[in-house]
Amino acid sequence: MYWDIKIETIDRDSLENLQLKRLKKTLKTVYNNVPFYKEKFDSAGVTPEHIRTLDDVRRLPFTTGEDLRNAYPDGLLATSKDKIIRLHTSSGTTGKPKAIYFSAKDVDRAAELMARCLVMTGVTHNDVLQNMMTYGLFTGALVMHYGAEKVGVLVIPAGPGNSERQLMLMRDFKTTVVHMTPSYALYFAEFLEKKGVNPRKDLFLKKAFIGAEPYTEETRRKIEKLFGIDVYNSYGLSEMNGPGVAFECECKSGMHLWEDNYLMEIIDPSTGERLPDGEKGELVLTTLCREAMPIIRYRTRDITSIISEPCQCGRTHRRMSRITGRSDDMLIVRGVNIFPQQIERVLMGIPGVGKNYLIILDGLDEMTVQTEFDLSVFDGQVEHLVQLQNRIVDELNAEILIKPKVELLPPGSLPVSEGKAKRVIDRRNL
Amino acid sequence: MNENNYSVRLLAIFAENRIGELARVSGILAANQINIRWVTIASSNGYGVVKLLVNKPQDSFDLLKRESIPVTMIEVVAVEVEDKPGGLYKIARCLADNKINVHNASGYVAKNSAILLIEVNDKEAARRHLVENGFKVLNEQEALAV
Repeated sequence: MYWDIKIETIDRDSLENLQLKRLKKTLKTVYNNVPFYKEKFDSAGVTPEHIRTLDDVRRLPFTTGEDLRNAYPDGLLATSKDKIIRLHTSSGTTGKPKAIYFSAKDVDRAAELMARCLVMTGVTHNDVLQNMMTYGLFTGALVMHYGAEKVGVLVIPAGPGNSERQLMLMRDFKTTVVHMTPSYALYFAEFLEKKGVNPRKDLFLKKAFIGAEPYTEETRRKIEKLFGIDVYNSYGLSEMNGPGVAFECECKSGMHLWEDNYLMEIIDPSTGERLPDGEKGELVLTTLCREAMPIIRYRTRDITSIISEPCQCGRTHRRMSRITGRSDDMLIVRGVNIFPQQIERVLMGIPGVGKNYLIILDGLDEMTVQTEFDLSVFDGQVEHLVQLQNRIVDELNAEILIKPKVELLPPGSLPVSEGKAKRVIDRRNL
Repeated sequence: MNENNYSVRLLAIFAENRIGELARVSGILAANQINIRWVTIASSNGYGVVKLLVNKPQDSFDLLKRESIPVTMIEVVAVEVEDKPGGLYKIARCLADNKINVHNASGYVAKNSAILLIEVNDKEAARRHLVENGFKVLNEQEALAV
């Protein structure tokens, strides 16, 4: 099923021509209207006229999260303020937030892309979507909301948390699709179990859109199994409208990024050099259709790679693979680069280990991984816990090449976040 | 359910802070009029497990579960030991001769008899060998009654 078959299956040549046309227009707009870009381009010795092919984009300077933060609160606006109808901010964990402005056209286009995504996974106007993301300054819930309405889905703007009420809504309104974070999905599965609710039999769920936090393939499978549903990976960031930038189709192998709206590149995060398709690096995006606030070569900090092979679904927009980390999440412990997702992947693969974990960095580069054991493996024998602990240490050691300390805790010991889970505590005095 | 199969149920509680957890658990049981007949604490590598013999095992288990205490129920074999030198030796010899692998054992002396609780994989084999060698294996009611 397609929402817009013409653009979703457009041939590559036509798509690239369209990209180039839109890129040129965007560059002209920012150069003439946004002092920040004029200065940036000038000091890099490049003007919009220099960009004649898509490949020339590498001559343009990057825009970083820091640039957007510095532009707070007025943003890098390319239109007059009276054209703006919506403000979102991206919560910075440090310092000022980033202000993202939308014109009426931008809001509509974000919803349009979201509609493509939803239909791509098989959602129809007969579905009921329970939107369990935070409604507010964060783009996650609202963009999904508008997109689903466009498709004709019944949207329940539930917001996150309050599991009792979520369950009531799910039952009473026969929810078929949920939109939530992975950590809340795992928490909610546990909640249902405690309540004696079997989601496969007692609920009507068919699909889940899981996003806003990185998660592994193992976590996806776990959520699919726990609820008996299909889980679709999605990618988005507030700076680029929020959700709906890239989404999985029914093939579930990589996320189609809407290339008529975004120009995607992968770079080496340390040198800034462009990497070929298939190689892992940092995703860099340029908006091609944004009216209020176009962004040029934005460093997303997300680590992924481009899948250029054609997809069975018939869409020609290239896919990006699952995010394997953030270039600024990367931990360096005893000189080794480690992504928290690697730890998660190992833990998920070991039976008897729970869903939560915490990485604690302490002292002089000491790493401790705390995780919970499942009560089902606790047979009263201390030795078995020690064996499980040793297995975790060995498997982590094989994956991350250093030997962390592992602490097994009883279920329920670690805090469960209903939003973005905090997985790393860094107390090192380095 | 347990009267005839000659195994005795114990509660095993995971305890990071052993004494603190013991205080918490025994407090809950005391508040519910449950009598703890015997206790042992095992620890290794920083992990501790508190094991309890109580007069109402199933009720206690449900109670602790409701309080979110990491608890499991295990079954052990209870055998009466002669309360004199060599009493334990005879039992250990019998289990060793019959190649019964014992994970854990602990004992208590009550009134005029001594009871040994043994954790084994094959409870039925342990019981059979002990009975064949003339030892008295107690069921749960008997173990609680001494």
